[in-house]
Amino acid sequence: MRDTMNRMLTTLILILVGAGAAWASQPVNETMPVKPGSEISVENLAGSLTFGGWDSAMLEVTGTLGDGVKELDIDVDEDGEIYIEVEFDEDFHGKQTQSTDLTIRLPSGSPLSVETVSASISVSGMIGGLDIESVSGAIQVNGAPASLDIENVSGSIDVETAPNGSDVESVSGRIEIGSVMGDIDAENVSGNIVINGGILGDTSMETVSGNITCRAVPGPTGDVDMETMSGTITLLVDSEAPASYDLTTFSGSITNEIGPAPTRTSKYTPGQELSFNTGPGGPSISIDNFSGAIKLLTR
Amino acid sequence: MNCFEVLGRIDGYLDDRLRPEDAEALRDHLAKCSACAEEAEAARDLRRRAARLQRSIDPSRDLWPGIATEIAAGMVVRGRFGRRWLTAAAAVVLVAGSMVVAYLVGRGQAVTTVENRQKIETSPSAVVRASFDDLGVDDYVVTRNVLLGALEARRENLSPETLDVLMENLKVIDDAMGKIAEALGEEPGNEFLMKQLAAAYRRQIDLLEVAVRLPAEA
Repeated sequence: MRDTMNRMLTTLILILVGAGAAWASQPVNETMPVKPGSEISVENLAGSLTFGGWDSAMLEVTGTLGDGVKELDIDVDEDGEIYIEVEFDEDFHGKQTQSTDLTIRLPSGSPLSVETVSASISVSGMIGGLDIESVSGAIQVNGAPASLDIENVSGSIDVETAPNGSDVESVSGRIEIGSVMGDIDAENVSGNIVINGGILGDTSMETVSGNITCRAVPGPTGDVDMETMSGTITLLVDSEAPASYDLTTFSGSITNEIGPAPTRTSKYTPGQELSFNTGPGGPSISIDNFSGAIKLLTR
Repeated sequence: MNCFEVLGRIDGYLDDRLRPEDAEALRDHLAKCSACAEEAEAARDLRRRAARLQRSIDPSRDLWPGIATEIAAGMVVRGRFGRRWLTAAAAVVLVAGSMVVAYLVGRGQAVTTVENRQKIETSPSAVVRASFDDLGVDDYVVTRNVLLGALEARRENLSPETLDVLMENLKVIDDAMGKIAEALGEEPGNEFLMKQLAAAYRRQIDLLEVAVRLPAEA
C-alpha cells in the first residue's frame, strides 16, 4: 500500500489506546463520510476482515481489536482516500486470545484495496474495483466487482464472479472461481485452479504442479492458453462450438472426447500432440503440459 | 547441420553410428567451426584416456568404513544428474539443475545435507550459448542466477512451507528440463522438444520471478 510518509493528510483520526491497555481487546465502532469514487485501503495482519458494500455514502467500522493491537489508524488524505491500518505492538509477545475481527461497510462503488498477512478477507456487495493481497489468509469475494486483482500465497481464493480483466495469483492456495466474465489471468504453483462457469475471453491459466479444471465456455473470440508442468488439465467444451485446438504433452496423456486421437511427437519419447478444428472461426485453445494428463471432455 | 545438432551427435560420430551422409555433414561442420571441433576433440580425448584406464583395480584396503563414516557425517550430496555426456542442451540443463539444487540444499531444506557447500560454476561454452539462440533463451543462465540471488537475499522473509513449495516445484521443472534435454540428445532439432524446452525455461524463470516478489511472511 502507500507509504504513509507521502500522504497529504487533511484529516487524521487516531484511536489511541494507552500502552497499558493496548494488549487487551477493545471494541471498535467508527463511522465517517466517504467522498464518491475515493479508494479505501485497509491493512490488518491477523484476524479477519469482512467487507460489505451498501448504498450509503458512509464508512462504518465495527468489531474488536484483539490482543496485542497498538492502535487503529484511520487516515483521510486530501483526495478523500481513506486508509485504515491495524497496528500491532511489536513488544507484545503474549498469547493472543482475542483476534482482531473487523466488519467494514462501505459505499458499494468505492474502489477497495486490502492487504493482510494471515487475516481472512471476505468481500460482498461491492461493484467497484477490488485489489486484495494476503499471505495465508483465506480470501472470499461474492458479488460482481468492476475489476479484480488478487494475490495470495498459501491461503485459498474463492471468487463468485470474476469480471473481465481479472488477475488472480497464488502459490499453494486453491483458486476457485464460480463464473468468469471475459479475459482472465490465473496463476498458481502447486495449488489447483478451478473455474466452474462463465464465458472466457483471452485466457491464461498456468500452474507448475497444480491441476487446472475449467468448465467455463470459451467465447467466440479470444485465445485460451492453459499450461502446467505436472498437473492435470481438464477442459469441458461443447463439441458443436467452432474452435481450434492445439494440445501438446511431453510424457503425459491426452484424452479427447470431441475429435481425433493424438499423435506421437517423436519415436524416442512418449510425447503427444493434437491439433484440430471443430468448425470455422471460434476461439483458439492451446493446452500444454509436461507430464500431466490433458482431458478435453464434452460438457 | 548447426552447432546444436553437431553437439548432439558427436558421440554417435565417434562411435561410427551415424549414417554416412550425416557423418559427412558433421565433418564438414567441424572443419568450419573451431568451437565444435574443440568439443569433438575433447570428447575424443576423453575416450582415449578412458580407454587407457585399467578395467579393474583392487583396493589396497577396504574403503567402505571410511565412506560410511563420511555419509554419516552428512557430507555426501546425491546428484540426480551426471550419468553420461549428453548434448549441449543437457549441459546447460545440468548446470541449471545443479544451481537450483545447490541453492536449495544450501538452505538446508533439501533432502540432502551439505557441510562443505561447493561453488557451482556456470560457464556454458560459447557454442552452447550460441546453440540456444534458436530458443530465444540465450540469457537464461544469467537471468536465472540474478533471480536466485534475489531470492537468496530475501529467503528469511518467507516461511519454510512456502520455501518447500517453491523448492518442490523448481525441482519439477528442473527434472522436466533434464528429460527434455535427454530427448533432444536423441533427436536434435525436434521442434516439439525445443518448444517444450523453451516453455520449461520460461516457466522456471516465471516461478523465480513470482518467488522473488512474494510478500514477506516473517
